[in-house]
Amino acid sequence: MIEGSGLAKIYGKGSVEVRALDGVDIHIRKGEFVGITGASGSGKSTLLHLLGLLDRPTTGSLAIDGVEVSSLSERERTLFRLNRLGYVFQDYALVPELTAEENIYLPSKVRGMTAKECTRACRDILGLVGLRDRVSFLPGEMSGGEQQRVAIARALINNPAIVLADEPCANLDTRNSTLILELIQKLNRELNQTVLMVSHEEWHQRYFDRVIVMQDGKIISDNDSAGGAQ
Amino acid sequence: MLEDERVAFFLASRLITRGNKGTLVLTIMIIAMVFVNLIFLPSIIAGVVVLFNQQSIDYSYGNLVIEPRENELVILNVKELQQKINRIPGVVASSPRYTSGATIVYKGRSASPLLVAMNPEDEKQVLKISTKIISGDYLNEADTDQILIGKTLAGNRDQKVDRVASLGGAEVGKTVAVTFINGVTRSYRIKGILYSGSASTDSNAFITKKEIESVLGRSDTANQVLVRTTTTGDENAMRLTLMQYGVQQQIWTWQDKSADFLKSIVGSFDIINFISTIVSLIIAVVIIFIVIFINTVYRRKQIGILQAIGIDRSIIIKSYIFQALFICVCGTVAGCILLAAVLQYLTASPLVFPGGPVAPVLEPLLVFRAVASLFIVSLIAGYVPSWLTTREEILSAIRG
Repeated sequence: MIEGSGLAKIYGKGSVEVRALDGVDIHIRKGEFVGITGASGSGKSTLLHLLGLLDRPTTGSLAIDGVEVSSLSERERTLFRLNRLGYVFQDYALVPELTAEENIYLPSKVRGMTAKECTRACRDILGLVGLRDRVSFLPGEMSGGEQQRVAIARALINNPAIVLADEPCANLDTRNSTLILELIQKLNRELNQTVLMVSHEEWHQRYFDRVIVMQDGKIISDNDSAGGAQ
Repeated sequence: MLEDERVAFFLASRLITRGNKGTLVLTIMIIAMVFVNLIFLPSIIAGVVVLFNQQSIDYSYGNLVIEPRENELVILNVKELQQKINRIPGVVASSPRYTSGATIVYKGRSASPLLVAMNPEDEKQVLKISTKIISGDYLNEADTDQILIGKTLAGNRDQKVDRVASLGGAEVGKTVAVTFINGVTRSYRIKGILYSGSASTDSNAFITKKEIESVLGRSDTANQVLVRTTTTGDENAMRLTLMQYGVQQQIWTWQDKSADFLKSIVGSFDIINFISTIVSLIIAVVIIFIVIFINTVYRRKQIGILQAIGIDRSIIIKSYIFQALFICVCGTVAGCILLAAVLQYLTASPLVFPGGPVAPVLEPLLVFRAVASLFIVSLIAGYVPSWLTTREEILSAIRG
């Protein structure tokens, strides 16, 4: 599913050079729920950004779903994100002027789905995340937990190959965090969705199938029994 | 491809309908005023041009002016020529004139106006001077010792008020001494004072043709024949018709005669209009640019996120262009309403210019030009800020 080799991200040059990611090799299989943890500045978000095609590695190669993504043009990367990746952000990142339903079906509209198809797919997903009664609510009219569930539904609408979640519970209380984690776990199991989630909360780890721990831009631990990362 | 536009339109419509209404209304109103400004001044200029054109026809030249052949000073056998002209289809009437310089003295003050000698009844058929008498009466065919003077020539007792040489407040019933070009001096009683609004006509003096013929010792001559035609606008065709009917003298249209004067007026107004238009368009582009730029900067993070979830940059740019166009369309519609109110008011209560009352004239080309200018300006003002914002790296946009 994901094959990364020698991934490095270096900011600056010479004496001010910062190695945010330092030659990481990573292998993620389909259907895995992988947690990426580590202290602040360890490189976990940088790795997620590279895997989510939001940034380009300084060196290394990356193949996702059989596609060598390092060589894609900017427009092809955008299309790849639209069609094969789903992204959940720390602060929900919903468009405040769009209702829950509109926020969710926006990526589908870009893919050319009709309004009817969008609405149907959207209602199904809203049912899945337990927000069927919030269809026409604006983000400002929903709680943080509800907004994050809408964001998850938006990430899933195009049935992506991989869902990437960047600390999706960072702004939520424990109760809502649990709800979100359970939801992601459920989606991972029921839809066989590959999920990569960045988190620095130790208690989140019980939801992950596999935990990758990072430090100073390197993977220092990976509990993958099949040896997915080195 | 059209799918992108649909999504961009969807995003734009939601951002407009659920965004800040106050800012939107304010921006639309400003664009409306820019639109009015783009049209108002040119429409007034068009009104001034229409006024001067009409004045040229009604008080100075009629539709056509016949003058002596080259190298000749006068038109001979004028009565015969007049009869011939009056029989031509499309001609309403003609009026022979004898114009010359003269010196008029009144209570020690003198002026040298253009002295026009005409047949009052013929002149009535061609020009509208007879309807513009503000004091006293118009001339009669039999008048020999009476003169009609323009208001500007009559002047004011307070010399400071007069902008040109005048007779210092000459009044009806008073006597002036007129010295003709042949040195003959005669006294005339002022029969009437006219005010047409046309600067040149109001500076002239008028006597009967019968009187000038006795002064100059000539008869049946003129140095001008003014012609009024049934329609205005086809003067060139009428000139050809007159030539075909055997009129061998020089024939000018009123446009020919007033071209230099109008050119200088229109030229000056065009400069003012150009500056005003440029300033208005700059205001429009700056306002729309600022509104869209603030909007995009404020939504920088959101734009980054939209790109991150797979919304192409071009869709985001188009959505802002749609917003700018929406502002432009609403501003134009509001501007039209505002303009209609202003025009209605000014048509009912025209602006008073030195030449007379001026009502704005709305030309379709002018409206089209204003709409097209605003449209182009909106495209630029919507495109540039959104292009600048979406050019940013996705991650730095998301980080804000």
